[in-house]
Amino acid sequence: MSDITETLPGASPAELRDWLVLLKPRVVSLVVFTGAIGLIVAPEPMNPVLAFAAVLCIAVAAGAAGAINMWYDRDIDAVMRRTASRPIPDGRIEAGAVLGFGIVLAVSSVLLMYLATNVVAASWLTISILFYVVVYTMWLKRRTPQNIVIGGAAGAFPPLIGWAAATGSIGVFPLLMFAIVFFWTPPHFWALSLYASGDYARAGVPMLPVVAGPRSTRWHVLAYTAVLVGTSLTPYWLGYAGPLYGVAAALLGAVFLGGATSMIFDRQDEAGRSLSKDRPAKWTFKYSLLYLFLLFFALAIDHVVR
Amino acid sequence: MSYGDRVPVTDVEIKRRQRVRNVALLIVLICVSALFYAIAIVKFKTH
Repeated sequence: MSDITETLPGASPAELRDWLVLLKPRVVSLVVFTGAIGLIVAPEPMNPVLAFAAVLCIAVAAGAAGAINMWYDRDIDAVMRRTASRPIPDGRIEAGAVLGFGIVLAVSSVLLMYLATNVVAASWLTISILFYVVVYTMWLKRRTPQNIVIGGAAGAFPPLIGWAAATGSIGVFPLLMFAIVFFWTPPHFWALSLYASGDYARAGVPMLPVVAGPRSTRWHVLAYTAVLVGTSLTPYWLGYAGPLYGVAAALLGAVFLGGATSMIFDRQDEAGRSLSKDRPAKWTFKYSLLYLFLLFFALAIDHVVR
Repeated sequence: MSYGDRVPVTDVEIKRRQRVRNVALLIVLICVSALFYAIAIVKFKTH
């Protein structure tokens, strides 16, 4: 640390945005969106103030889990190009401060969720935080190429929590929404990891392209996309959503399957490495974000017009 | 880029950042207090 900063005891060169970066705002925005949809499609209407508090708690909890993840992964973040400029590896915030920040936010979000809604929602919120921090970050991420498959469940909890906040219980429909996000996560991350595998290899993280190679990863993306599309149609087949959602899910899924298939037919060398700079994988990754947004949006619209 | 490569942060800049952080914390505290109050009102009305 420079002499200048040492003249102020406890002074940190961190700016406000560094603290916000710790909360992984892009991940939070997706989590907030799916959580809010879970709340909207629930059969029992919720007071707007309590609904706002519930969504805020989901956002803060996701941010807290992200901060604790950055605290735990600070060693590998420093090695990976994509994450080397994060506040901890770059030295702008001390690791201990980030852990404290994450824990305070996590506990606050659970308590506020309990006060604003019910014990079921608060319990699921706790489970989602622990799942992301303990099961994914600490246990699976560095041990198995299936880290994203099982750990991805952490990101699938928000619609379940939103539903629980409104109803105080869990039913088949919120479990289907959970399943949709659960099966969406692997193709989404594996498409990204195909063209970021160098980073993961340097950090020793056993992402699928690093362990099984790019060719196998592309087939995994296609297989999981097929399962995802089937799962996304289930709310319509079981009568939880109407034809508007059914048509949207079928069309969006067909395009996703097209993207995953184009990855299989991407020009490759003998080792399966892309000769097109992974253009189909990049397209599929970007589309996967739009897919989830539009699918859940269709679910909400369908619920409103039914 | 390692930490040592960065341009040193001056005392004035650090004080400015601390001020921004303190104001942000105050705003968050006020908003959370308002939210607690609103939740209490709603819960009181519904019970």
